[in-house]
Order: sequence, then structure tokens, then C-alpha cells
Amino acid sequence: MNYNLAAPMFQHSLAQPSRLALSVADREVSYAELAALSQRMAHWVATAGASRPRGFVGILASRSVEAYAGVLGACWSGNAYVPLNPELPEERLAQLLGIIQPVALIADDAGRKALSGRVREACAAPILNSLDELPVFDPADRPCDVAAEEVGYMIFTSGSTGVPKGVLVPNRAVHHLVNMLQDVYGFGPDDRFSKAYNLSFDGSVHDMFTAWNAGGSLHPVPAAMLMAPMKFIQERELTVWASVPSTAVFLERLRMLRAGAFPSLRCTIFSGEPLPLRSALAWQQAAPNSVVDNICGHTECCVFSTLDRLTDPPNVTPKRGLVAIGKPLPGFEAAVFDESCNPLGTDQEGELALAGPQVALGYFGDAARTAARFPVIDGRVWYRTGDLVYREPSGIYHHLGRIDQQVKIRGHRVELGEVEAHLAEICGSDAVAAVAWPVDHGSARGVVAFHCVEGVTAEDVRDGLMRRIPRYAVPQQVLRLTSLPLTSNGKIDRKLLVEMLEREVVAVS
Amino acid sequence: MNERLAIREYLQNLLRQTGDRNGFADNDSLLMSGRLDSVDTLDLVVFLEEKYGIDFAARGFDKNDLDSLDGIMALIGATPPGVSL
Repeated sequence: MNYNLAAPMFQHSLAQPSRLALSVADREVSYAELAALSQRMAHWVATAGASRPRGFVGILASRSVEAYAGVLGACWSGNAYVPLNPELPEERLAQLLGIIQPVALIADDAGRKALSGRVREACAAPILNSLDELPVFDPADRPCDVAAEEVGYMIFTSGSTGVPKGVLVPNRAVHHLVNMLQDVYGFGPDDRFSKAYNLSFDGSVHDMFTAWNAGGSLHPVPAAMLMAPMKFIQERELTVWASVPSTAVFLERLRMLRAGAFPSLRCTIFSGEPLPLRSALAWQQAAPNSVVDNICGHTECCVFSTLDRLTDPPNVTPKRGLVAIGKPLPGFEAAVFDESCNPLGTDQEGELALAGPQVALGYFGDAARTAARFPVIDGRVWYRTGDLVYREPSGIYHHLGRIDQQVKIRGHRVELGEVEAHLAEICGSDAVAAVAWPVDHGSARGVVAFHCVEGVTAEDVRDGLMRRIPRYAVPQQVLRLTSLPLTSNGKIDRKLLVEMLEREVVAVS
Repeated sequence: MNERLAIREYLQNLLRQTGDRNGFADNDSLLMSGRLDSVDTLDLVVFLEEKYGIDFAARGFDKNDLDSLDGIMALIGATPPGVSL
């Protein structure tokens, strides 16, 4: 069997060549056109990177034909794709390119703007600058044979040491994801899928490959409409909506979720951050023909892991006003672990651990971290998620927060340790701390940084961080204290720092 | 206070809360450029609803309309008669 991620799209291009596969900006791309473009991309990658063994193809693109054909072309050629957000700071982009050493880089207009001299220096690979550079279509060519365990893609997430972690996801994980979701939702060629997630966010893996596995069409949401996509959903008559819950929260707050506003929707999937019950109920009213699912996922488990379907009465996590994260999706085994990876019983709080065919291979070039986060227990690989949960007797899981310093800021994973690592370098001192604050309904609004170095201004810190880490992780406030509070163990007392912020007793530098 | 100045002051305050102390021209992009995020946008929408009576639920929401000070002024100017500014 060929596990090439481009194979289902290619099969549909033979069976239903004129059917719509992608509608991006003002361009409608049929399955035949998408397959041809992907094949030409693959041929270009193979030619451009001919002197190198298979490896990574960087996709420095977003919401464009080049981005999606680039992803498919990279897969078609037997390489793994790595999405790179063109909005990343120059230094971060150069750092990622230095890590992955791509065999080729595919850029769209936005990507080309990000290709500064510094970024180009970090990338020795050939760069596709225009679709006009692609070789001619070879109708005899087919997606290259790839194995289940070969890497399909790598997505970077925040790393606690200051270096981003590249999560290696094998083809079999995506294969399981799309076929499992096909069984859960019964997707078909008439389904019209949203694509709200950025390519560098793993939700996009679901959007693209589920749509093309079903023979349906993919509709990237223009950036200007992401916050309030009512018109887009209505005009495109979308049947499947997948996004972070912030979309529902925003629309609900603006009273825009009118009853029956989205009659075409039949599946709504919220993931990436906690889903407030109030917003879920408002969305359900607006989309009366849709199931409304809260899905908890992890990049290390290929996008989606557990599901809770909004019911009457709903499954709510007590005292948090959030929809529960539900039960493991088919194929997953879930458990609650203590610190030593011993399974805990119902109603006991511990770390959510997951096993199954969607578990990733580990972190690129980081065997120690892989061994720590992906322990093998009785011959089975588990992923320790870091999520603090408990399981009620009915089998429903509830999310209570994190056991580590990872936070979600508007859906983005941020390791506070990474912010601190850069902060320490900028300040020239280890006496630094970063906390998520304020937190509303389980989602952090931003980061606040603390340091103790006289003469280092908030502007110095913010300017330095803006060059190193994504904008959403840059602290909104930088505060200088005479010393950092410590716990009885001598560690920085982050809880007290948060309490100080809440009581507004911190002196701003 | 002049409406343009009042809104400029409000936007400056929003930016300040994000740690952004840089100035901005009347036609500078604030939302699409990422200087203000979704939560800031929500704050701005609530401000415009409360202070200027703009009903986004009725007129619809387009991020481009709020992207710059000029855009916001045009939006306020386009508010239907009967809404006192």
C-alpha cells in the first residue's frame, strides 16, 4: 500500500477530474488541475534537490495555490513537508531553516517577502519563486511510493529550552486520522470544508487531507474574514467548519450568531483551546443542522485525540464553564498517569497520556526529549501530553490545565520556558520569569515577563524578543522587580507572580 | 474632543496595553498587520458600539473597516441617520 499523503487527491483526480478541489482567493482549482500542479511541483523538487537524499521541503507560504500545491508536491515527491509561517520573525525563520536544511523551499508572494538576506543565508536549498518555473506536466507520473512509518510532515512547536521542537509525524498517523474522521463524520464529495487554520498550525493537516480524502473541496478563509467568517460560510455554503473556539466566542460576543445563520453546516469542529459552553450553545443555535464537537488535540498525536459532542444536557467541566474534552477518538487509548507513568483511577487528577496509530515518531534531533515524552510501556509507545485531566466514571475526560509551563495563547502553544530562555539572554541574567496572564476561560490573553536587571528597559526586552519568537509569545508587559519571589524549594514562585499581577501590586519598571 | 483625536487616543491606549509604543499614521494598518490582535479588536468593537452606537450585528463585521484610523472614521461617517455621534 502507498501511504503517500497526495495519493487520495490523485485518485480523485482520476475519478472526478473536473470536480472542485480548492477554492482560494478568486481561483477555483479542479482535482485534475491540483494533481497536475502537484505533480509539476514534485518534479521541480526532485530536480532541484536531485543531489540530496529525501528530506524536508519547506513551505514558506500561506493561503495560496502555491502553499497547497507545494504541500502536495512535497508529499508526491516522497519528501516530508515543513510549513514555515512567513510572518515569523527573521531570526526565527533563519533558525528553523538552519535546523531542517531543506532540500527545496517553496515560497508564495508572502513567503518571498520574508526571504531577507539573513533568511536566504540560512537556506542553501533551491527556492521556487514562481509557478512559471515549474516543469511541464507529465501525465504518466504518480505519487511516489512511501511507507507508513516514513515522515509525512514536521511541524514546529514552542520548545522550553529556547529552541523550537520539530514534531515528526509519520504517514500512517495522517492515514489513520483522515480515515477515522471519515468514519466518524461520513464525509463525501459534496462536502465543502473550511480552512481557517494557518498551514503551520496542525489543524491544517485535518483541513487539507480530510477534504481531499473525501473528494470534497477546500476553502481557505481569507485572513480578513477569519475573526468573523459569517459571510464566508454563507456564500461558500460550507458544510464543515473547523477552527479555534475564539471564532465562536468573538461572534457570540458581537451577537452575530443569529439562530439559523449557518444552515449549510453539518459538522463543526472546535479545537486548539478550551471551548466555553456559552459560545458552543450559541454556535449550535446558529448552525442547527450541524453537530458541534469539541476536539482536544496534540501535534504529537496528529491533530485530534478526544471528542465531546455537544448534547442536551451538555458535558461540562465543573467550575470552568467549559465543554468537556470527551472520550478518546477511535483508535486511541487514553489513560491518566501519575508522575511515574502509573495509571490512575477514575476521578483522580493526573497527566493525560495517549497511545495509538496517530502518535508521532518524536522530536527531530532530540532523542532525550523524545524518550521523556514518548515512553514505551509494555511495548507500547505513549505520548505524555502534559495536560492535567481526570476521567469521570462515564469515561468522559475533563481538562483542568497543564502540569508544566506550556500555555495556549489564542490557540498557539507557547512554552514559557522558551520565553524565559530568550529573556535570560537578552537580560544577561537567569533571574527572569514569564507567566501567562491574564487567563480567561482557560485561555491566556498574553505573557508577562519579569526581570531584575537595572538598565534593561521594557523596550529592550520586547524589541529583542520580537526578533526571536513569534509575536503572540512576546510579553505584553515587561516588569522589573528588585528580586523574584522564591518558593520554599528555591524555585521561582510563579503562582505568587500571578497573584501579584491580579492584586496589581507589581511596580512597573 | 474631536472624534478623530478621541479614537486615536483609544487606539494608542490599546497599542500601549500590548507594549507597542510606536506611533501610527491615520492610514496605517493596525489589525491586518498584527499590531492589534483579536482580543484588542473585540475591545475596539465594543468601544465603537457603546460610544457611537454602531450595531455590528446588524451591519456585519469586516476587519478591513477597522484596520486603520481612516477606516474607522469612514465607518462612523457611514453610520445611518438617527444615531447621534
